[in-house]
Amino acid sequence: MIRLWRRLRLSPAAPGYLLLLLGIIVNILVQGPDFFTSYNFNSLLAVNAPLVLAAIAQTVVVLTGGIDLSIGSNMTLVNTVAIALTNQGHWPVGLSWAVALAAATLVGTGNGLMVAYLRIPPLLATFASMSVVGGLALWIWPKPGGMVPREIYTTYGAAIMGIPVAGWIIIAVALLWLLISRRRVGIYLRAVGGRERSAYASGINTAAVKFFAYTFCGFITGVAGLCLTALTASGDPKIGQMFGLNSVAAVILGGSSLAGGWGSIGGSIAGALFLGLINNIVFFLFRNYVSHVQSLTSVASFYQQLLANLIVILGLASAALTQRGGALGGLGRRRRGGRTQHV
Amino acid sequence: MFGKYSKKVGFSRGVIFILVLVLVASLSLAGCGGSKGSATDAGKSGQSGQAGQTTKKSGFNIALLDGTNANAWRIQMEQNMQQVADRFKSQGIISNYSVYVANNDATTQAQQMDQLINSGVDAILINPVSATALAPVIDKAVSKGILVMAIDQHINHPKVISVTNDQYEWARIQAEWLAKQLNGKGDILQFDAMAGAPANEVRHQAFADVLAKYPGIKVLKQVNMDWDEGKAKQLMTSLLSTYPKFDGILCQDGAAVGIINALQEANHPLPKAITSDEWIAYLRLWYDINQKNPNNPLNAIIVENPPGIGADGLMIAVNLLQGKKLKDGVLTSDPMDKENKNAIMIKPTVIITNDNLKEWYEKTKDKPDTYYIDSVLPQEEIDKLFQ
Repeated sequence: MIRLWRRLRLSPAAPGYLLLLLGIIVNILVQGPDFFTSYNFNSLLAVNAPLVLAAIAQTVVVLTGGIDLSIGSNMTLVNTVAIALTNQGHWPVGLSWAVALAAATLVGTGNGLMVAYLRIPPLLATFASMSVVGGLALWIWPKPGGMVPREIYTTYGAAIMGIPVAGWIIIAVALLWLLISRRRVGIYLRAVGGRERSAYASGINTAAVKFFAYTFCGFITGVAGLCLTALTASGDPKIGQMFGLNSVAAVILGGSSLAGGWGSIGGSIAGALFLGLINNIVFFLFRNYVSHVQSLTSVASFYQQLLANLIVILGLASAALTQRGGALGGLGRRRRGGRTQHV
Repeated sequence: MFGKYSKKVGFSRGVIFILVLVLVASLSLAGCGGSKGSATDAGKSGQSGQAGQTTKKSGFNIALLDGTNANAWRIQMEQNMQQVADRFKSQGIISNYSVYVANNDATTQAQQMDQLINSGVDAILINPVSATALAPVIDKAVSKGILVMAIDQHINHPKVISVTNDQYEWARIQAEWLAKQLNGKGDILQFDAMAGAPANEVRHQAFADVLAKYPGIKVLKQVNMDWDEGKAKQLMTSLLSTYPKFDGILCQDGAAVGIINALQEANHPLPKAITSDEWIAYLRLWYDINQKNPNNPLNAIIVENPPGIGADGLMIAVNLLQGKKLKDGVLTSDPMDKENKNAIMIKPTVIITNDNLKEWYEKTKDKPDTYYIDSVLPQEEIDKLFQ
């Protein structure tokens, strides 16, 4: 137990896990025993899986010291492509969803080309692709509408062996990342993020590594977009708007450093779930306490967003303050314990 | 591909660690609660079925899910609804009315709705973030006998009744008026709002349908101002350099103040006719312009797009909960959703032009600058929709 705690404390994800724990405790306090129903658990995971996956995708890029702002519009693109092909093109569902996934990966490839080989700063490159991809999605499916077969969204909301399907998807993607992070490219990713010049000097093909990171990010974003499509069972050209910046927030909450080289998938998952829990906490705070106070009813809704965003800011601040990586001062301390953390 | 060196790192330990964490977390959570009660016995407060089976006449538990309240229009909508809810509360018809805001995030809204279903309500009113994204959650709610209604924006779902302002009519009245003012010929600039937003699409369609009848009217340029006065001002300023000569401006709400300000700053003559913005600040700006130039007044029109629609929806919801039936022909199809006949469209009644500007200026003198021209239907009017 103590060894586990030590390991945890040394890992970049520590602030993320602690925040999530705190969030769960507060949530149980305001929601009461209902929190432990499988219904609640299913709903939380199903609704927040797209954000969790978007956070994982963002982490891959952040590890290299980049950032991907196009994640939100890319998820929208996946949603519109999948819906348009099944509803207008009458393609089989499996095929059209595969095409949508390929489209997202292509967007990632495009980002990778711009950042790695054209050397456009990631912020600019992905901001540009955000607009282009968003416009493309709007062109493909201009109005909200369309349907997803009933089996898909009921399956997505169900549970297999006690774990919601959305949970299984997250586990699968996390395992895939774990596989990759233990291979050469995973280690090089961190090296490039840590100090690109040194990585280059030690013979790492930094451009290829970055190119891979953005492509892989596009692929996971595709999975996130498909989850979002399964969750909403429809197409909407504005559905992904919030995911771009929310995924960045989740990554920071998870203790990763935007400077690169320091971060973990586990932390980002925790950060994304924390963001989802905040909505829950605010909801029950107002449902069980505030709405019973007569004098507060007329102003209650104003304070919901305020409170939710205040909690996010506090979380971000605490994550930033406890962060040990990223800054040059943290370089020496990062090797404490003699090994890097990958979980 | 990536370089020269290769290295194996302990893979299995990490995998086992993750798996154990996830399994422990989820099994403990799901396990603890599995026995305590699951979704099937969620409805703690009485489950009134869809209108028809209910015997309840009062004591309803109603919730509003608002997509955002970060603009004055929505705030006014919520205030109107709160007033009506308070009235129902004092009569004992509503026992609990609560409001949840989703920060413009469709998934947050789905989560809130899920939690509402789980904690038991009689009716859920939604001003949706997305017209379609709630479909699976709505299915769940309907199967539990909860009345689900959309207000202000249509939801494409056969089981959901949407109470909206008639956006098509709103835009049609204005485009017709503009065409008449220009005697059916001239060059105009068109300011649409936000591509992909349902209200915008319907209005855009109405504009196009009307203009098709007047071949003499040419749209020089169509732009999107995203319901943002500041952006509208910027757009107008840049349009002036390309199109210094135009006769009229056709715009959706949320842009007129910015457009007029841009023209005034450039010392450009005001258009022969300009369409709506139901914002009170615009009404006052218009009134001031006319006071300063009595011989050359601004030729404008305001058609209400009242935030009161939310309160109308709440009254309709209560009637439905009490088991009253809508009259035949009340339900129509929304232009966004032609397959379903599930929309109640309230036609705009307040139309302001130079003829009655002074009267409305006096009427709204005590309102803040953020106010919108508004009207809530009286209870009698709502009851007229029912058998």
